[in-house]
Amino acid sequence: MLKDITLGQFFPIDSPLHRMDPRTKILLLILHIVAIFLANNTAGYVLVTLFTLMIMLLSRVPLKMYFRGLKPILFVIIFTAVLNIFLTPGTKIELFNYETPMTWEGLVLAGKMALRLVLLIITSSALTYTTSPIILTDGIEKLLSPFAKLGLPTYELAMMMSIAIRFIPTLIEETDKIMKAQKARGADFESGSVIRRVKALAPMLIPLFISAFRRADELAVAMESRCYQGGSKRTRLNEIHFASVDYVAAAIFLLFFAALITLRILL
Amino acid sequence: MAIEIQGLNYVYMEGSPFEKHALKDVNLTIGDGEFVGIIGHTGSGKSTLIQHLNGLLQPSSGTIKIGDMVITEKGADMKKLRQKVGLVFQYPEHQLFEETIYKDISYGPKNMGLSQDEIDERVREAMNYVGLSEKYMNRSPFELSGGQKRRVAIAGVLAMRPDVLILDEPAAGLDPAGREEILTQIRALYLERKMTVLFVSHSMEDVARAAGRIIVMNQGSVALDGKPAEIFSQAEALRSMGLDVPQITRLIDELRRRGISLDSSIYTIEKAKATIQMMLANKMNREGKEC
Ligand SMILES: Nc1ncnc2c1ncn2[C@@H]1O[C@H](COP(=O)(O)OP(=O)(O)O)[C@@H](O)[C@H]1O
Ligand SMILES: [Mg+2]
Repeated sequence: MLKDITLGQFFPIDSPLHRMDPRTKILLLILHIVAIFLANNTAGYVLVTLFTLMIMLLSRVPLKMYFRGLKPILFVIIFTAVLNIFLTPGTKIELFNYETPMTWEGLVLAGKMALRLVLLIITSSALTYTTSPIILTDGIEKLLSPFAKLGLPTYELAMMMSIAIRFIPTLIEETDKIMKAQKARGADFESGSVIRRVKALAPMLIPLFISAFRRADELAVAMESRCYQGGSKRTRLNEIHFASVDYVAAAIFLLFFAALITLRILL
Repeated sequence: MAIEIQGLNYVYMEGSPFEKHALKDVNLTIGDGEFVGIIGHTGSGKSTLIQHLNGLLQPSSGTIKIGDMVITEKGADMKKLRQKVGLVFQYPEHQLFEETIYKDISYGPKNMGLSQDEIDERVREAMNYVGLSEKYMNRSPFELSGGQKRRVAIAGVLAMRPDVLILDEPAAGLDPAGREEILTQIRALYLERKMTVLFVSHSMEDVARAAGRIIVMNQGSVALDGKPAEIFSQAEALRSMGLDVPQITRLIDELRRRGISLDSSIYTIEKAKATIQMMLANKMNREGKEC
């Protein structure tokens, strides 16, 4: 149930992808998404797919983790595929001499869309699997820092993000605990009419809110008592910086990107 | 009500890289009316074990029988089970939610579908057991001190009149007076209601005083199981599991090493005091001095 949620699923191992700077990873991810939509012929699709496969292998994260990540959006993939197959105009598919409402063009389009969605999810997961949430927010903050001059509170945004990410697992754990405690007192969250079920949530939500406020308060006091001050003058324990792995990755990626554009123009 | 646990295994997040084998082949029989202390280092699986006993966790493998109900079978009546086995979680005060103490304590009995009269009787009785005077009834539970909140939460479980009462670290985080009070009340309740009590703690002193039998958990398995005197005579084994014998046992051991003949099975301060006083009195008699 709740324990199956693996949000912010960082996978703490060592791999070339783990060692990359978060900024490189974020920028390359954006470029890779562009690449996925640039591919418009068979050779292009094969190239993007192979490149994504390479990313998966380089991350050293078990492949089944990637497939598990696909499960929640399986419905979306199938739904769009079905819509495409039936609604795209073109040559009707014949089955056992009967003309079906499906079209060949639709089938091809559905395949392409499904592939794109899958690749999109896999590469985005590759980023979260190989980057710890804290480092990820560091990266986002650094990338946004040029906008600080325009008045965007980048530091505060990043801080809020890291606190939120940090507390997701804590709150899930807390919810699980409170639910169990109320079940031990005979609470029933799973049966009855909708109204009954909504009412049954109060014994869970009230303690959860109280605990969230208490934690927020404790955190604020702890930060305050250590003289916490936001702003640009703060330094970090672990400064992020570019290393050779980033340059190598960028070079490989640009080569791939150039190849893809060549394929698009030539074929 | 007797509890029988056979070949119990539990794995958290099975099949994921974060998989954790929290209980390994646990076999236990707990007789009707026993007062059992469960001790063990943090992470040894105590909480996981007790959550199985009222069906909040379903075992990865193994069977559990409570009274004559096999609770690990498909279709076991969880509602009935949870009325028989009352579980007080660690820091139970975090589960309070009602506007008044009375309403909060009646949440359990209400879920059981009892009549208003019956609920009223049980709430008063439960408050009485935990030493909360009736004048608190209409106050908000959130205005109370930590120790009082905890007593409200324990009363919330007692009001269901369980046959088996399980408490997960009921004294954790309380000041010495609060600890003392809660332990005394649990002990009194046990003697009066003749229920089966399972008491989880990592304080040797607390367990030594209250329990008639001690189960020591270590890394998901039952490492030791026996009477307090038997358990505390194995100081080495306990230390290797990150536990310690009660301070008073250490004192007695030290005195014995210095050649004073004392019974090695003393593990409570009361008994140590009585024994030492008697010994001194004997000694003075022998030497013919006035006390
Ligand atoms: N909800 C959970 N998800 C994953 N692992 C857990 C969960 N709860 C407990 N564990 C793990 O199971 C082991 C036993 O935990 P627990 O039964 O809480 O120990 P204890 O109560 O003796 O301190 C620990 O290693 C703990 O990290
Ligand atoms: Mg515990």
